[in-house]
Formats: sequence, C-alpha cells, structure tokens
Amino acid sequence: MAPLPPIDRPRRTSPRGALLAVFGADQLRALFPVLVVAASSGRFLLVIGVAVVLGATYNVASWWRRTWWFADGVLHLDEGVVVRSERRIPVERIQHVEVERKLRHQVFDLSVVRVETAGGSGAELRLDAITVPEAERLRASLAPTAGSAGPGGPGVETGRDPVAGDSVGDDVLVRLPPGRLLLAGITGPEVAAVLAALAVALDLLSDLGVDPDELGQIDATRLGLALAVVVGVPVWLLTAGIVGVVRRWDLTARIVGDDLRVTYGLLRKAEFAVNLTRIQDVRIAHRLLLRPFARVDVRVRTAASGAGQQSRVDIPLLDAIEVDRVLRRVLPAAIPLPRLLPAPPAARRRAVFRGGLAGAGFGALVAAASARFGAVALLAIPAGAVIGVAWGVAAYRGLGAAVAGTTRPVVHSRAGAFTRHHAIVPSLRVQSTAVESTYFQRRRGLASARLDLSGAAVAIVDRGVDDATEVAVAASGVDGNGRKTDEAPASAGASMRSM
Amino acid sequence: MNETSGQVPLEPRVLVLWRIRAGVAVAVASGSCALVAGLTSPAAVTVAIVAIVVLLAGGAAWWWTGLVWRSWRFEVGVHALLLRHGVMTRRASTIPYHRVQHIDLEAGPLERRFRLTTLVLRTASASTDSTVPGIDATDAETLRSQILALVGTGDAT
Repeated sequence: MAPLPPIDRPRRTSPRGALLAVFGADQLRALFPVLVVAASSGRFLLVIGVAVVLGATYNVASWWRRTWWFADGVLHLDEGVVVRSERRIPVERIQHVEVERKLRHQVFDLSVVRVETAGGSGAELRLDAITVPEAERLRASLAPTAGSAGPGGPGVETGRDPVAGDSVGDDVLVRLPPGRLLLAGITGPEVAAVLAALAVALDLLSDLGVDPDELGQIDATRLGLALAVVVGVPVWLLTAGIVGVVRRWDLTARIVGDDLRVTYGLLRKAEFAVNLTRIQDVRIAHRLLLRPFARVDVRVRTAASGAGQQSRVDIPLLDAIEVDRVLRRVLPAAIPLPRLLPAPPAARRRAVFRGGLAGAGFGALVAAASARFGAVALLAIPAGAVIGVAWGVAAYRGLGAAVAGTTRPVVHSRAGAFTRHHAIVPSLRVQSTAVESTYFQRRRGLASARLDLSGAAVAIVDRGVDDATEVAVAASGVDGNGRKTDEAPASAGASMRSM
Repeated sequence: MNETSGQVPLEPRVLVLWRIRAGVAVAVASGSCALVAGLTSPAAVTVAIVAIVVLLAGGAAWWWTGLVWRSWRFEVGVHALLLRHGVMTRRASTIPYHRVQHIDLEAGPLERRFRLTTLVLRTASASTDSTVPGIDATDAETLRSQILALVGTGDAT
C-alpha cells in the first residue's frame, strides 16, 4: 500500500466514500419524491435521468469541496458547495471520537469518523468516509496524550509511535461472549423494537385483506392465540436476542493509553473512544429481569452535544467483579460502591399516595371506557389503586443516595421502579446545583436536589430538606453562604456521608 | 444598594413591570371574551362577564406576581451566586463562579424604560437555573464585572 500523505496537509475524503454516499439515507430519502414525480409525470426516464445527473453532480461537487486536515493540534474541515463552512476543533476541546463502519464501509475498507465536542449546539465534525489506515492514524493523533500529533504537532511528546502506543497500554476490561449478548438482547430494549416490528407486520397482514370479522370467530381467535403463544413468543425473544448479538457482536471495552475504547458490532462496526479525563458520569442500570442474576448495564457518558446516543456508550450485562474492574479505570473515585441510604419514611408515604392516586385515576378512566359492562367496570378503580400503590412502593424502594469521599466527593443517586438507574456523579463535573421542593413535598418535609451536568441533570429525589441541601453543598463545593466548603469549617452532623 | 452583603430582593420596579405585563394579558383575554360575549349575548350580560373576567383574572395576576416577587432573593457570595425563588416549587440554586462560561445581560424595551436588566449566568449545563430578573441596570453592570473578576480560567466542562 502507498504511504499515507502527511496529515497536516488539506486532503479530500475517500472518493470511494463519495460513491457510497449514493446509498446513504439522505440520498435514498431524496429518491422517493423523485420517483413519485417521475411516475406521475408520464416521462419517467427523463425525470429520473435528470435527477440522477443532478444528484451525481452535486455529490461529486460536495466531495470535491470537502477537505480536512489536522495540524498544530487543530482538526480542520472545510466543506459546502453553496454555503461554505470551515470548522476548526482544537484537540483539547474534543469530548470523544467515534469510528463507525457499516457493512458497505467494511466492503470498501472505509471508516466514518465522528468527533464530538461539548455543548448543546450539535457542533460535531464528521468525516464520511476516509480509508481505514487514515482513520486509525487520525484517531491516534487526536488522543491528546497517547499519541503524537503528527509531523509538526507542537507541545506533544515526541518519539512515540501511535500504533505502538496502541499495543503498549492495551488493557481489556471486559469482552462479552455471544451468549451474554443474546441474554442482553432478550432482556433489553430490542424486545420492544421487535414487538413494534411484529405489530407493523400484523398491520400489513390485515391490510392485505385478512377480514377482521372472520378473525373474530372464536375458533380462529383461540387457534391464533395458541399459535402466537407457542410459536410467536419464542420467535420474538429469539429475534430480539439475535438482533442484540448482531448489533453488539464482540463488544469489548479496553483501556488504551488514557482512552476508554469500546468496540462492537457485526454488520455495523463501531468504536467509541473517550479520554478518561472527559468522562462526565457513569450510570449503572439494574434492570428488573436481570436483578435476580445480579447483572447490570454500565453506561459511560461524556459532555458531547445531544442528550441522546451521541454522548454515551453502554456496556451491558456485567457482574459485580466486572463493574468494579470497569469503574476502577473509568471512575476510580466511584469505588468501592457505597451502601446507598434509603429515602426517609415520608418519601414512602408520598410514593404510595401518588401511586395510589394515579392508579385510581387510571382505573376510573378504564371504568368510564368500559361502562357497557355495568357496575363490574367500577372494580377497575380499586384494582388500579392497588397496582398504583405497588408501583409506588417499588419506586420508593428504588430510591437511594449517598455522598462518598470528602475532598472531591462523588454523589450516588439511584431511582426507578422497574429499572433502577444508579447515577455516579463526581462533584468535579457538577456545573450548578439546586434544591427544589414542591408544595406537596414541603408538606411532608421533603426536597429534591438537582445536579446540573453538561448535557444532563441528575436528581436526588425526595430526601429530607437537610439531606438534599447537604448533597447539593457536597456536589457544588459551595455552602449556603456562598463560600467554598474546602475553605470553610466542615458542617457538623453530616448524615449523607457514607465514608 | 450593596450587592455583596446578604440576600437581596429584586428591584420593586420589576413588580410594577410584571403587573403591567399581566395587565396587558388580562386586557387581551377580556377583550376576546367581550368579543365572543358581545356577539352571542345582550349588552348587560356582556358587561357583567367582562367585569367578572377582569376582576378575577386581574386580581389573581396581581396576587400571584406579588407572591413571585416576594419569593425572590439572590446573593452574590464569595464563590457562588445563590438564588432562592419559587411559589409552588421553591428552588435554592447555587452557581459556583468557576463554572461560569459567560454572563448575559438582557433587557427588552419595557425593561429598558424601567432601567431594569436580567442577569443570566451561563454554565456548560443547559439545565442550570441562573436567571435573575429585575436588577437595576447600573447595578447589573457592576455585578457583571464583579462576577467576571471572580470567574476562574481553565476548562469548566
């Protein structure tokens, strides 16, 4: 293979990538209205031909105008045919880097590199697509301490080959075997996705002329139900499991230099790389179905723009030892995980009351909707209340919080009735705090603390007012008089401390 | 007014401003009520309806803006801005200066007539509650330079 051109000179993305862009989602979406116009115009080939020529010209032009380079610690991207944009990202502002290779990229030996910065403006930089060796070199250059910044890069340690750096500090934290991914798929959000797909399929079937009245006949319904249970459920679960396995195939979390790198996927290979100093918070999800197996999902979040999937990576189904191993490297201040303190009894009363009220209200709606069954329908109200109370108790049991450490405290907060989310927030990342109490909370002497993070907020719900205030003070490092706590005498009677 | 000492309420002028705004809203609401009622009912009924709407909505707005104004306290601490406000939901917010990314001073046309300014401290978090409405315009300038002097350098994310 020819040697790579220097990284600090402007260059275009791969021409093969430009060719592949034809199959991108944007282009395919644009194709649909063209097809409609073409079909209705009567000059099908002419319209299609013009559209294809225009589209191809635009693709070539935008590829021609898109250049990128990395020099002096700044990543540059100039692009745009009509509106020119020149994007500059200093390497110290990068939150994380994602390398993505869908099936078509794998076939053509290409990578899509996405560079995320902090802030809510969605200022991301996307290189779609460059060759795999180029992507590897770029990612190594962008790791601020692990590699050299390429020729001419100032202020970075020299004489360290990025590729060699990869193999030296390589430290595998977890690697998930397919069996566990299958379990993750069966118990995870894929189940809902498959169910939605099934619903669409059933909808299509009924559109294809299956008469609902015939389905209404008792024999057919029973047979259908039996079939659905005997065949449908296992097929559904198996599909969800396989989706999970394919999506997260060979999920591996490793430490390379100062980076956490998570690689996964079969058809769509992805690598998520974040500098360990950039990690905002870690969330541990205890899913209801997995609680008996003592398995949890670990979610690592950065300050990248977008509250959604752009700012986080999930490592599913870890046992206690693996969680410990991951946290030890990713957020050392989080371990040992403290025993979380339950919310006060007033919080239980509030949860039960709220749950019961909401359940009874929902039951009343159901009763009103099924009024044709007569007085029996009224049973929905107490039934709803009972379910609501049970839900409230579960929600209360999910609540837990603790403050660990004294100089740079870490706040732990757990909440959730079904899936319990345990958020671990280093006070180093807390932007501001608030202690909030609604009218109903004040009547029970309760308050919630809110910790504002870049791109997210974590709430510690329904604590005593003093406890909520204490959490906020520990997280912000500023006491109620506006003075830093490390300069003021320590408050007496601290009760949220677990260490 | 001395900003650095203790908890400061908002300028009383901002309450006047809020009540003017509420008055405009009530006027618009009662105007549309009058239109609908005038088309469907006799004049006496229309007058009665409009009077009731103006009295109820106006009274509620007067009372509520008073509650909101009274709930407000802010304090320019040594290391953080402290806010306390809220009627139904009470908030006590702490914004450490070393987290501040930039400071905005905002004033609409009506606020400018009242020589009032809204002070906003921006951090890296979108959910930060750090808007102080109704500070005297000259005080706000002083406050901003005072806080800017306390804002540290370095990476606040």
